[in-house]
Amino acid sequence: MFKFFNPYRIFKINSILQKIVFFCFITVLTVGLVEALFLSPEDYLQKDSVRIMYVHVPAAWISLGIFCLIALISVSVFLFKNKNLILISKSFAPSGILFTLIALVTGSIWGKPTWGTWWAWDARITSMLILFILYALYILSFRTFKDPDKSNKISSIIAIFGAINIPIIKFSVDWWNTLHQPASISLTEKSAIHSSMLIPLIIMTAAFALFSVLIFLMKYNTELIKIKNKGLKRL
Amino acid sequence: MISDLILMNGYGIYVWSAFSFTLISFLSLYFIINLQLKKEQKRFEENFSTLSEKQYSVAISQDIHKEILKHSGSKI
Amino acid sequence: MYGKKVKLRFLFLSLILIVLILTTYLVLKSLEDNVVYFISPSDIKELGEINYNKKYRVGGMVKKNSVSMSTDQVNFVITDFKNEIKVKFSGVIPNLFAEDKGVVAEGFLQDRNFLNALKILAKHDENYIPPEVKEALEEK
Repeated sequence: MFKFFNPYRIFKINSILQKIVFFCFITVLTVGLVEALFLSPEDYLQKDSVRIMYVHVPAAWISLGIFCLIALISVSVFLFKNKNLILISKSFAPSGILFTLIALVTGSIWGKPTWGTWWAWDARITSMLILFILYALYILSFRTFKDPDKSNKISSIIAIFGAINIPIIKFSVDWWNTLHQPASISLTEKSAIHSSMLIPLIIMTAAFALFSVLIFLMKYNTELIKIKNKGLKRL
Repeated sequence: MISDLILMNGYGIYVWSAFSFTLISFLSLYFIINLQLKKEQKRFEENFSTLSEKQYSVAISQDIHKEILKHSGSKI
Repeated sequence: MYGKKVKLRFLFLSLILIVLILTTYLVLKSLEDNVVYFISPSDIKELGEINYNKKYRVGGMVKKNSVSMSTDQVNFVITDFKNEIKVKFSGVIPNLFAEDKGVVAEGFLQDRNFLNALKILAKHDENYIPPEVKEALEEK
């Protein structure tokens, strides 16, 4: 376990991975964009505005996924008091908040031509806005409290308590009447999205996931250098 | 043909603004994070150059320090 | 396997989470009227008392063959296949507004069977299908 967290090896592997992930991200994104914007068919009802889904849905998925990850890590930090893990969740937070913002903004842009409104205070959209606020609080807690012990504690509390919001987001469309449509894809049932539209959706999801990994690697290395910087001063 | 792709049955403005918002936010975050990384690397180099000879010999013996300096393009 | 402290913290955390879930559940339950974005025509029928100065959002399907448009006004019927309500609206209709599709109308109730809508939102369903496939499906 100790060897696994050896900063030298992590830093070295990170630096190499960054280049690989960057290359993969650009490739997958280009393919995904061409698929999403030009090759995929329009919807019979929404026409071309369906293309907004290819950025909206992956962004929403990944923002939820990253928050789940952060919450899980926070739980294990609380249980096992392992500070190395905090660095992982801290480094994933920036892409998490960005994807939440993208989901909110692109959803709003989609809502105008489809629903006829930019914004509605329905359960799905409001709980997504709460997710954005939780991410903001999580990131701010590291900036506000300079003492690492304190900031670790407060950020973990935000993440663990905020995790309650995740099932609310997921099931809001089933539990209450919402303007937002119910989920089109589930693990158990047949997808309500036609396969020709599923392909760009999956490619774009992969591209977005690669982007969050890229940001994660860069942020993680930044945090490692920061720690070493403090170490140098203590020499 | 080309104008069809841009107009998208009148939905073009929505589709293009959604996609450009996404790409611009990707670019911005990448540059911000990259800037933070560069800033931290620079600070590290500066700290390294102010070390006394004795501190320097201790610091340079650690692999992680060498690796950080290597990636920040420094020749120390 | 794990130390005593870890077990204790685990217990503590689970307790907090259970309390948290319960409180969230109760809060959401008591706020149900606000969490729900719209009510169905059946809910209108069951409404104890109607506040004629309050805006209601009614949602459901636009009944088939119920839409009649004149120059500055559109009339249609919202149905949840049990009950229905007539709606009158003048203004901009969203592109996706159509018969047999979801709709949410916001406005003042005239009585339990009539809504003067001030705003109409089209509610999209979860299906995404290319036009050719849709045609093929309909031919079947």
